Parts: sequence; C-alpha cells; structure tokens
Amino acid sequence: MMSLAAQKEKKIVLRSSDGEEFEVEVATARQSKMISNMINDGCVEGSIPLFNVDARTLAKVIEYCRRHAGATRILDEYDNPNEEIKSWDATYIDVHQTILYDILQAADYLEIKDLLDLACEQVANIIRGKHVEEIRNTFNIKNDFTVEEEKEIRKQHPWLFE
Amino acid sequence: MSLNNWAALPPELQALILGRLEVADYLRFGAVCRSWCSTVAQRPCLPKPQIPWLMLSDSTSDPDTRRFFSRLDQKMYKIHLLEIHGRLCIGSSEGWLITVDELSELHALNPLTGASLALPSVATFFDVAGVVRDSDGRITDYVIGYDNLGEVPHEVEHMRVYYYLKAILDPSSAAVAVILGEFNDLSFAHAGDESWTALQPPLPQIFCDIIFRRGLLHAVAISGALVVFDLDAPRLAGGSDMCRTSTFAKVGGLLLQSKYLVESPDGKDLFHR
Repeated sequence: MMSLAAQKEKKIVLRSSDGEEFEVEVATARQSKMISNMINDGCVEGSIPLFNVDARTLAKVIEYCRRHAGATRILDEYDNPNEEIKSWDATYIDVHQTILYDILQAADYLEIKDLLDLACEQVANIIRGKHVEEIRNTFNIKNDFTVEEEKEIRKQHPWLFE
Repeated sequence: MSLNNWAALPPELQALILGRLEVADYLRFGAVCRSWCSTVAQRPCLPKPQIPWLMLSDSTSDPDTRRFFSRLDQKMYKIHLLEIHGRLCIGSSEGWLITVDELSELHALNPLTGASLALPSVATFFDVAGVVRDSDGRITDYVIGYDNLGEVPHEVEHMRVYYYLKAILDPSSAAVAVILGEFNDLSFAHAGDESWTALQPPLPQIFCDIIFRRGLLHAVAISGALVVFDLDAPRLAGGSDMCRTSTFAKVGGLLLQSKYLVESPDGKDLFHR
C-alpha cells in the first residue's frame, strides 16, 4: 500500500464510453471496488476504459467519489460528519430520473456500494406512496400488460388501485 | 446507458429497490409493468419492515372485507377477506394473522398473499380432555381437564373468547406458539402437525407475552421469568419432561404486572416492560 500522501499525488485516468478522459486521485478512484481491485492487481497503466459509463454519468459519479473519499479523511478528524455528508448525499441524488437511472447502473457496474444504496433508496422514495399510473408516468414506463393480465392483477389486490 | 429503460432494469437491481419498499408499495411495484411484475412474483426479498397496519373489527355492513389502517401512508385499505369473517384475531407476525373461528379452531392466514397454514385442532391441546356434541353432531362444549377440579365442560362461545391469550408465528420455520388456558400455559405446533405440543418451563409460570427471535421462542411470565425455548431441539429423554429450555433469566418489573417483549429494529436486543 502507498502512503496517503503518495496516493493523493498519484492520479488515475478514467475514460468514458464516449471517449472523454477524467483524471482522478487514487483515493477517489478507489471508492469503486472494481477500479480498486484493478489498482491492487497492478493493471492500471495508462487510462482505464469504462465501456458502460458515458461522460455525463462518469462526471457525476466522480463527484460522488471525490466527496466520499474526502469524507473518509474528515471522519478521522471529527466525530460526527455524518449529518453533513447525509445532507450532501440528499442534494446530490436529487436528480431527474434519467440521470438517476444512469447513476444506478454505473454504481452497480463500478461496484460503489454506498452510491448504489443511495440511488436505490432514492428510487424507492420516488415510488413510495404513488399510484401505479403515477409510477409509470414518473419513470416513463409503458403499461405492457394485456387487458386480461391487468384485470387479473386488479382482481388479486383491488385495494392497491384505490 | 442512455437507453434509460426503467422497465428493463436488471432484476437484481429491481430487487435492491424492492427490498426498500413497504408492503403496499412492494405490491404496487409489481403492477407497473411485466418486467417488474415478474421480479415481485419471484419474491427476491421481503418487503421493508414497517409500522404494522391496524386491523379494524368486522364490519356489519360489509362482512366480506376488512379494513386496515396504514399509519405510514395514512391510508385505509379495504381488503376482501372472506376467510376471516366472524373470526377473532389473537395475534399477528410478519404479515400473518392468527385467527380463531366459531369452533375455537386456530388458523394462520396471510391476508395479502392469501396463503394459509394448516394448524392442529383445538381438541389436541394438552388440557382438552374431550369434545361434547349435540344430537346433530355439532360441537357445543370442550371439556378441559384441571389438576384440582377434574374435567369441566366449556361452551364453544366461551372457549373462543377466553381460552387464548396470544398466538404468534415464525414464518421461517412455520411454527406457531400460543399462550392459552386458565393458567396461561404455552403450546406450539409446526404447520401440518397432527397435534399441539405443550411447553413446560423448569418452574411453573403464568406467561403473558411471547416473541420469536432468531428462531427461538422467548416467553416472559408475570413472575418476571424469561424462558427461551428451542422448538427444533430434540425433546429431552425421560418421562413427562417436555422442557426445551435453553436459558432462564430474570427480567425486572413489578411482580404480577403484565409484561411485554419487544425486539429492537436491528434484531440485536430484546426489551421488556
């Protein structure tokens, strides 16, 4: 393992699926378990191509990782930075569902567990208390049930549709 | 990634979202589209634990439905539940209801999935000595055997109201435990069992609350004793000894005052009052 100071200095280049390159600190990159494993295995010469993450999403994900890489250090110095990072997270994830979708997929692909949890919780929060039709509208999902299937579902749990 | 097709979200990611939804939203998730429907149908996870719904008593105007109040979303849900019409509810665990029918028989029902479990007959409880029938063969009384009074008949109507104190279910092992009888004794059965099995603590106890925790039955008595039973442990050999006690602790509180057991949300601690 490198010292923290050395990690800070060393940079890693991530290349998005649409060819844009992002230079990030090692500590930031290590928020991704996938990239962290690659670093440990010594296979990060040059840039790391991320075929499943476009530039817009990658920029957003790096923003999260940078903040959380920093937060780990703050944690050593102060007792309770929890509230601060929680409110930062809440603002960060309050995005349009199209971006949320990309973050969710990227967090899963890059194995950033905290971000995956945050994104899933946000989706759950959006769904919570909504009618089925509202959920479809919010996430732009087409009702692909046949009339018979829809009838059957409503018969099973009519109270869900009240 | 710009396809952005929520319906086509991989099932494992759908499941991560699903596990964060309480039961009503969990079921609604499955009504959105085919893909989400098949994820819910596979039950990859349980709904998020939630503040329990309040079940209102039978409605005379609409006897086929029961109303449930959800504090979480401040909604009243009317659910078609023909099965429990006229029944008393003596306990609920993780979405299951334990009800008593007109003949004092116990039933375990999940009102949302419609699933039910077959439980042994009331006639197989350790203190039920017999059944009295009228000329048409209908059950009118259950005969209860007492150590000091001998055998005493109890009318069915009396039985169903007074015989049971509380029943709980452990869904993972399909075990039902009941506090019952004149002296708040304990019995249990697994779904499909032929008869109820009495549980005897090391010293006689008058139990007032029970809870399943980590697969073990915890019972608190008005004496303050906390007895833990492992229902899966083999019975101790020898005579009438049915004790499966694994620990025996004293909890606080006033003697003879009713006591309650509550598990902490993370399942790590057990509280009493």
